[in-house]
Amino acid sequence: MRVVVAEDDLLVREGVVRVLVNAGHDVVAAVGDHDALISAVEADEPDACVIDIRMPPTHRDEGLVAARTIRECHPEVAVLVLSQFVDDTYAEELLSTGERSVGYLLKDRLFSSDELVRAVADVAGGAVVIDRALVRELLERRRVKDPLARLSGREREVLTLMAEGRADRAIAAALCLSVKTVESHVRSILTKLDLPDDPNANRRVLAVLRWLRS
Amino acid sequence: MAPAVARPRRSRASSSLVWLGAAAIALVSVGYRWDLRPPYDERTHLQEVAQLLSAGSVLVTAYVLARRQPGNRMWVLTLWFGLAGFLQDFQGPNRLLLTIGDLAYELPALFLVWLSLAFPTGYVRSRIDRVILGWVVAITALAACHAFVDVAYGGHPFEPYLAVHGLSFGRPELEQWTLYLSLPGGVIFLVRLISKAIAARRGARRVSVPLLIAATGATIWFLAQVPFAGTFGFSRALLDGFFWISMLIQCSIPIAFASGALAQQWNRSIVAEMMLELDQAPPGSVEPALARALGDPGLRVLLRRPDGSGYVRPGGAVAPWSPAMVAWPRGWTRIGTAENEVGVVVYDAELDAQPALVRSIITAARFALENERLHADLQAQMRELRASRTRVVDAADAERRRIERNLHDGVQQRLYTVGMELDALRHVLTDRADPVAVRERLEEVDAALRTAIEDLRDVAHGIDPPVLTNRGLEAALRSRTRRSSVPVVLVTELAERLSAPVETAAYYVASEAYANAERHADATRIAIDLRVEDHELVVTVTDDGAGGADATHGSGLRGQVDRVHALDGTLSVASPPGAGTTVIARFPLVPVVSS
Repeated sequence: MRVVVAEDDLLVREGVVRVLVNAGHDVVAAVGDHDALISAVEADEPDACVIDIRMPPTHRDEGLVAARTIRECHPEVAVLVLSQFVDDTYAEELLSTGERSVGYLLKDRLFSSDELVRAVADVAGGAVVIDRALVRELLERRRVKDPLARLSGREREVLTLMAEGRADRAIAAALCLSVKTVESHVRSILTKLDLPDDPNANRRVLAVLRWLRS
Repeated sequence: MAPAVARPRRSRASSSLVWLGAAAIALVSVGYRWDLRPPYDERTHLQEVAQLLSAGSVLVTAYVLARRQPGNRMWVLTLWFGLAGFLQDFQGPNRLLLTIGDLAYELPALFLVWLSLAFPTGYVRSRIDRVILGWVVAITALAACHAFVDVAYGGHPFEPYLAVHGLSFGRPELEQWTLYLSLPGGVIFLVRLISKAIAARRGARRVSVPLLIAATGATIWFLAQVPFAGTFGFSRALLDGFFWISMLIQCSIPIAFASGALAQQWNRSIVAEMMLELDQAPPGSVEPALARALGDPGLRVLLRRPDGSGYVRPGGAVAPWSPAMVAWPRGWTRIGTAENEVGVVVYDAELDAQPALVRSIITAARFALENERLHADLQAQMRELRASRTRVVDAADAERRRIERNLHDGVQQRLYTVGMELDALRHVLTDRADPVAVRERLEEVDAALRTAIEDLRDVAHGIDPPVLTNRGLEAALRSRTRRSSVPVVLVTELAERLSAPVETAAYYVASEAYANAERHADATRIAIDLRVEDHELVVTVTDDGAGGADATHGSGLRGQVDRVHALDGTLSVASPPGAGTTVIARFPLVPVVSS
């Protein structure tokens, strides 16, 4: 897979590139700011971009701005934004650009190269990926209000994985359950939360997230 | 300008001479005209008496003006207008008097125009007015050529001294040219007068309206003559009509002045009204009250701040002001004395014609103005405080952002690197690789951790240098400047520790000034001097660099100004281009109880 990496910190950039190269990806460009990223996407036609949310010159959210530009002008390019902020505002902005091939991952996941590699593969495959820390935060915030209390412990685990963007099969694998069991949990969750049962996994993720945020 | 400026007084003897001379001219004119008129003069006795009375009334007006407002030049112009009326009528057989009469042929018109344009200050200031006046001077000069016309040409029975024989023109031609020349000048003058009268109603000029109306009437009358002048000849009835109109106009001058004076009386009653109004007025109402009393909506009050640092408007807005900033048609006058100035009032310069009125109104409002001044100063101080507080909050916000950034982009990134190295290490171990590869990875982890710790230390140090708290100002500055790229001489004469706020403020001012010198000034030497003088900590940072630093713009020093002010200190920056920069901060010291 052809990947562009955008990260202003040299050491972190080298680390990310190394992980992706080790995973067998072709890192076609590694850049350090917004403009260089946009040019690289234009020039190298990558399958996916891994973008640091903060980059020069203002170190605020250039990465997010670039991600939105790329989503608009090159919808075929999957975008994974790496962030140090556990804040659903950014994730929501990113998700508002579309329902496919987009992800918001905390940089904490860099501590496990497998997770980074899997997230890149997932978004490139069309999935929506949301960092679990963010999902957990949303869940915790919701806990004060009651509907979640109606979920069983197992259902809550399934819901967390759903919100992260995992498909039924992946959830089953993660929780060592059968796909059928997961499907019944999902149906039960959707009923309890009064959400439509959408066969499109990504739309389901978005619905769950929207519900969590509401 | 200030109406209080005293003008040198004319000596009594010379002013008496002026009036004696005027009376003599009037008498000569009276005595001379009886039965000595030229034959074409068809005025009745009644008309002559009327004319003498009206010219005389102008002279009397001039006299009254001279007595009541000797400082105002208006009386001179009025006197000349009256005299010109008499001089113009020297048309008898005496050749000397005839010459004078001919030379003064259009003099009354000249002074009427001058009088109207100069009212009420006595000065013709605007460009257009001066052009109009110049035009009339030219017409008057042309009319004075009557003195060169000989008897043979033009039907005058007597001949002036200056008569030049053989001219190709005579009285009729001269009169015709004069009138035609008067036409455009008169139209412009008329437009000008009307616009003045309109403007006058808007503002403080109610005094000038009657005169302007009178002069407007005179000009219309004058212009009406033109189509009938010269060769056409006048019917008897028409001539009579013109005559009485002209009399009316001459008399309107004293009436105009008298009504102006009435307006002033009216103003005086307004003084009393204003004082009643100011009695229980809330702050900020003195300026509108003055504006109403003086009839000048554009009137502005500027109050001198009690600490002498400048002027403020009644609401407390700081207003830079100096006499040089007031240009005609604005005038100003001081409230209070030069030594104990309460403020200044800036108003329409036309009010300078009534210095007594202005003075009495301002004096009446004096106490209200004093209160206003204290209130305005308080407002100004509150504004400054508010602005300073905003700056302090801004500075704190900026500082927080800086710290956040240093944490996120520095320390956190380094820790990510550590995590990634550990992850890589885990993979290496899984593959049971050689110890060299493992050591390499460990070295990377080690390096990343060290950098993270250094970054963390820098961030924490930026928040509050521990050495300042633990060891004091001198040690902190020594530590701050230890790795300087420019040699630093640090001289301190501090016997003991100072209060923490002073030490912190002094530290930041000195390090900011030092940082500027090191980074931007192209200096080869920097000197920092700390000493206590007269219960003040004096911090001086000097460099020999390029100078030209601006303390108020863009420099980090500006952020320190509020810090210094918060401790009642002062900060000064001297930075002449090419001669280095000197920053001096002074902090008053309050005694600290040593623990």
